[in-house]
Amino acid sequence: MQKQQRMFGLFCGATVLGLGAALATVGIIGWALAAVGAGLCLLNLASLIVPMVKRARAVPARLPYLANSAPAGEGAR
Amino acid sequence: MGIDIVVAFFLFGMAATLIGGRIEFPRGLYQGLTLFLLLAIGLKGGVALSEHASARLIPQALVVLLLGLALPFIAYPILRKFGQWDRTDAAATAAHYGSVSVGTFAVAVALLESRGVDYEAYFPLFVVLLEVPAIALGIYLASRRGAEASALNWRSLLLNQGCVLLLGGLLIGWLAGVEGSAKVMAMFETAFHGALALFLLYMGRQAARYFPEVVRNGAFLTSFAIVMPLIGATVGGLLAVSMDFSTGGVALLATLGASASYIAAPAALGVALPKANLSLPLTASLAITFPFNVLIGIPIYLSIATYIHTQFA
Repeated sequence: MQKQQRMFGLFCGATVLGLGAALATVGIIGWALAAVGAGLCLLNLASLIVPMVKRARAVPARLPYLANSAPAGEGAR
Repeated sequence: MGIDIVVAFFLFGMAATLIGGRIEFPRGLYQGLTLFLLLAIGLKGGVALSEHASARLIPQALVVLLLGLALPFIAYPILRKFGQWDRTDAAATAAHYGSVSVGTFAVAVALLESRGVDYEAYFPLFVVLLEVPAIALGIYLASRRGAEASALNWRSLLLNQGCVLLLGGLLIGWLAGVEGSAKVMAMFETAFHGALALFLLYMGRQAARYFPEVVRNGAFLTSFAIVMPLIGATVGGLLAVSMDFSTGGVALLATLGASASYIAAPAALGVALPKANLSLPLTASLAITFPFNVLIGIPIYLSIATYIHTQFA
């Protein structure tokens, strides 16, 4: 559900950004709209990425053998 | 290009509230300002109607009604499919976005007048026509397949303050005509921009107060509340072009399509859909869509309308 919402938000952000840029090229004040679109993209990207980073950080805590494992290369010896 | 003076009041209200400044409005002032603005818009439209009433108005009114019914049908599937909202919340929010905001309309009218752009002065009639159908449709969408909804109270819906004052103003202006209304019109026309500035100061404060809700509800609500006005403006603008409206008329119908109700719709839906979480549509319409339209949307709709008329007229 969260991912679907974020993807929709990203699509909206990209569309608004594109619309703003297109309007600006024909001389209509589109820069503000483009800025809003860029903001929406960033907002949705952040809310897509931040939970992923949090989950990745939580993996060693959930798998204690990973957190306490020997440094890389040591096992090979 | 300088900032529009009434928009500056909105920004001031928002900024002052965000930094913790206190702007206290006397009790009842907001209601007084709303009453004044609604009557001023209605009267002006009524006077124009007395001069320009024609049979063309009937098909135009029907198309405007169609716009009011089409917008909830666009918003509802977006909220259901992409937002995964439940039926009641999606229908309540769709109803808000199909209905209109008189405040946004007033800002658009003020902008057109300050730039000397002509428009079909009987537009207040369209505001009245757009106010109600979407709310009824939202209640229908929510109550399909057994979802809980109280029976629609048509009487209270049609007799809400916005409709009554706009229609009353229209009727008085229409009956009095230009000469008969001259005595009171002077007051309503002179004070219109000042009252709108105070109204926007209040709205800026209200929008800023809803910001924590925006943060809590996150990116989807923000995305929807910005994209939906653009969709509504496109549909409204295209319909206005197809009906051969003037530059100002195209900008105004785009603005009406883009606006979302924050007075009539919450009042009606609060009674009809008691299970709906109305903080979602209120936050979206008041804290995101209204500022977006006032600060960015309306000038863009006007620019596009001007561009279309200069390129394709």
